[in-house]
Amino acid sequence: MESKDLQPVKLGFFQKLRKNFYLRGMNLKKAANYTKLPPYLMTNSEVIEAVVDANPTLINEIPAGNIQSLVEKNPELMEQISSFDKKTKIINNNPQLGIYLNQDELYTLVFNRFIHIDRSFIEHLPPKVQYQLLSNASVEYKDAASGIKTYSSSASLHLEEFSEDLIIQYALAEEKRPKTDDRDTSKLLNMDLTRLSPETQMKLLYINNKYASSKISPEVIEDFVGDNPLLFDLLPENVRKQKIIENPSIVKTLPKTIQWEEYLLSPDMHPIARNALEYDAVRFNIKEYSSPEDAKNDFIKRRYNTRSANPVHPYKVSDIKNNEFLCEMGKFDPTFMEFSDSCPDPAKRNKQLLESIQEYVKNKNQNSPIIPALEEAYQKKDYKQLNHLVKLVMNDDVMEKVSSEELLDYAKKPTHQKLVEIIRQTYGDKSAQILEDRPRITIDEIPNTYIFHPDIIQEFNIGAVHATLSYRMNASSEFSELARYPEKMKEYREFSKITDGFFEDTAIDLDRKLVAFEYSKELLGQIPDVTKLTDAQKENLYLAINDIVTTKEQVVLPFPTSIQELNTYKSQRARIYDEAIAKTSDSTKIKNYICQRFMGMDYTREDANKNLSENTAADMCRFYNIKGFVNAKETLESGNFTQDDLDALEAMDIISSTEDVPALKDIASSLSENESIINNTRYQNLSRRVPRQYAQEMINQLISPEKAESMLQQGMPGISIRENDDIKIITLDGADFFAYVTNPYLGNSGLDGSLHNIGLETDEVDKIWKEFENGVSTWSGCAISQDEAKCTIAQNQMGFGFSNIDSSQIVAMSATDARLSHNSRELNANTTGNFVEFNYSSEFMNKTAKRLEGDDPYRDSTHKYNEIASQRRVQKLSEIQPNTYGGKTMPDYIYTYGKNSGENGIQLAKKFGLKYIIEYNEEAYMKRTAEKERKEATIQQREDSNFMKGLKNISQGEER
Amino acid sequence: MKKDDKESLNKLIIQIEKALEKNKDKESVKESYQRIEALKKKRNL
Repeated sequence: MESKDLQPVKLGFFQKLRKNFYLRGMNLKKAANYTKLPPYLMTNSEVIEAVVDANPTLINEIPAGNIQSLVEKNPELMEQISSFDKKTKIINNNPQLGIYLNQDELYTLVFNRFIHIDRSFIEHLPPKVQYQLLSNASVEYKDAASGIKTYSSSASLHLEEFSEDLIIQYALAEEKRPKTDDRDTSKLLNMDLTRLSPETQMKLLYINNKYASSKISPEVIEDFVGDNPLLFDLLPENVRKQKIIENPSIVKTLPKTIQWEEYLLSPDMHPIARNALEYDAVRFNIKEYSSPEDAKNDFIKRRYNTRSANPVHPYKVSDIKNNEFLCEMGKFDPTFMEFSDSCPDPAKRNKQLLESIQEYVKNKNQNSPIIPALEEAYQKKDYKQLNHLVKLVMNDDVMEKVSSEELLDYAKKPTHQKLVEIIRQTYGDKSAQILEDRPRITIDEIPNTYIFHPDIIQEFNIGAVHATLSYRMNASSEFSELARYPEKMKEYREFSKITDGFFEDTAIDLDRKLVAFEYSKELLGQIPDVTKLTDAQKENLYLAINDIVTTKEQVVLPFPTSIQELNTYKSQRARIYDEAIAKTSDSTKIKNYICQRFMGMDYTREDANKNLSENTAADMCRFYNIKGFVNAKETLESGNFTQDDLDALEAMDIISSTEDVPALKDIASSLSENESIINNTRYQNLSRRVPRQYAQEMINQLISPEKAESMLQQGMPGISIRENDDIKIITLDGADFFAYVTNPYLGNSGLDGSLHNIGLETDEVDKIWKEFENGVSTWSGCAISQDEAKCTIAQNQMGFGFSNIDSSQIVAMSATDARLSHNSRELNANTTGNFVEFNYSSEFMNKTAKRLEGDDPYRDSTHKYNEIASQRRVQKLSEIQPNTYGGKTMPDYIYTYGKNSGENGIQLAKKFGLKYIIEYNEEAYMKRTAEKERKEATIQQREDSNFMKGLKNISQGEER
Repeated sequence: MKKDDKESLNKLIIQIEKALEKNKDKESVKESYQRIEALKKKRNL
């Protein structure tokens, strides 16, 4: 370091003599005279050194220009300097001397920006001191310049003044530091990181992606994100928007949270980008599509991907000039032509709808009485009649086969029988039978009359048609397409052939399959013979299909639309995932990418509503207690799972329970070494089989009338039977049993939108249970046993008992309330929170008892019973038979809580065509419990007594 | 399970074990490593 001292003055002879005289025998006393020396001696370096050596405090008397070299030779003298200004100057000349500052001086030089100093001295401070500066959220000190007590925060630090290596080390150490809570984060997050070099900023992003949300250069984030859709959410909002405007199709591969939360309602968003939004329910605007085909294709995808329980409503069609386009959409889905006052600009829209339909009818029959009838209903604002007519008129087959008079008669005075006859005339007896099996269904619940087309029944089955009547599904629009366009049906059959075994025979998978078909159409249209696809191409196609229908959180790559895209799908997908994993610092996200990339399922989703029909890996591990399941005796003895199945589940559970980010990254990179690890159907398949296994074991334990009879025949105690009016009444008088019972709850959108429960005394209770259409898709019942009989059926009340239910119908179990959302006509079962937990029957009842009696965090005083939720209808479509009200599950017996099966119970059983009532004799079980407790108390007493005797003997022995 | 599926499962387990082995000294990874190691041994891999 260059010395900043004043230049020494050359001394004359007498001056030298005086100097030598002064220096000779230097001591404290002599040194004290320093200030009385003439200036030529006061600035003499020999004198200064000798004086300070004799008395270091005299350094404060030495002219500022002469201190630098002295301090550099002996830095500890810094501590003797009382002037902060002098110290500042010294450090400015030699930053390495900063370590000799006291704490107040250090903080003053670091934080007080009014002091002009080269703060590179901070970089030379010991790492420990720099660490301390970075990690203090706020400091209190006495400003060395002003003497005032001051507070400063680390946010005001200028990071460029620190060593960048140290900042990286600090950031890494922060990652490892145990945190007290979510607010306990790295202080760097609050600092201005743009002051660091781009390389250092980039390193910080790798260490923790959260730095992207602090003050960091947008260019650095852009470089970091590149074109990777999985990292897109790290970009600043304005950059994200700009990128979408430049390339609207990118939206399709973005996380759903970004798609709808931020951009949906953004007024400056590019219209094409807006249309590409998968979640955009309201802004679906068909005028922006070049053809009905495009609009329909997009609508199917959009509706499938919506998270909302409400259907996508295509209100915004008022600007469509082309009425033919509109009518085509109406045939595809009549809601496109629904008259309503609750849409934007209703007058304009309704007028256009009227004109479109009238024009359409005129083209078929110039003098049709339907034309003035439409006008009349429109003038009266009779939207109900108009909408009924739309559903019938927009079906070309109906228009051809049924007279206008009959259609008008139905629209004016609709009855179920008239509708059955219209369908019979149009499509024949088999189609009419489907409608006859649904006696309470009205045209409002029929999504589309093309669903009854004989080709649909032949290609699918009556169960599939029933499903479109029971649930809100994409299939209804797709059925209309397949029925109307034979070439499309041909394409579908081809698609069906190559995806054989990929989808289950359920309504959920029917919808998934039809959506996958819609996605695949463009690609398959370019392949002359799909059966000639190579194994690798087929594998890529299945991968793309699975990505679309299963990994709902984010689809990282658009569905391939050409052979070239198909050929590179797997490698492109791998590149996106591998790069994202290497750059991601969040363990949950990494697990999501691992599960999506290698196992074909989401690890977790942002959505608070958890779809139990399409579980994530995390929910699967938690809800199905995989760790316990793979080792459970019941699983192993069932013979339903191979060792491979169980090991695959265990491997998934191991990944799921690993939180260490570097370890997860190592797992991902290790798995990437071998692409053949990817198996996109294994876990999907297991995620369905595991809950069914639990359910089946439980069903096997259920008491049934037949089992009860067998118990009686074997002379088992605690069970008796009597017969009254041809109904067998079995009384459980203390015998062990296990039952699944429910009260007749329909949900708050049940019959007429008002009834929550069917009154069991209601004359038509049986008919309501069998025929109601607007209730929720699931019911919730309780598992009860000899030890735990609390359930939703209160004392002296009746309900329904089930013993013959298919395991695929059981969607949730919980030892407490499963928090299921029971929505009307909902295809999937949804839950919120983490209350679902499947268990085998004995464990389930143990947990029920513990939850209610113990100090459990999920204890809920309003739910003193467990919950087992079931779908009301048979799930396997091919098993839905005629005359079953569309696969509605019927009770196997009437259950009564208490020995009270009087006339009402007998009448109820008769209404349902049941031969049995099973009574729970509460008194007998109370007696059984009391007896058990008494025995236990006696044993305890005996043990206590023996213990006391022992004590007595011991004490007597001691006395002796 | 098809032969290919069995092999892909074996590879899955081997590769997870290989990755966790590198991290086995960390307290947070210990249990995962022990579980995958046991799985690997059980399958004679």
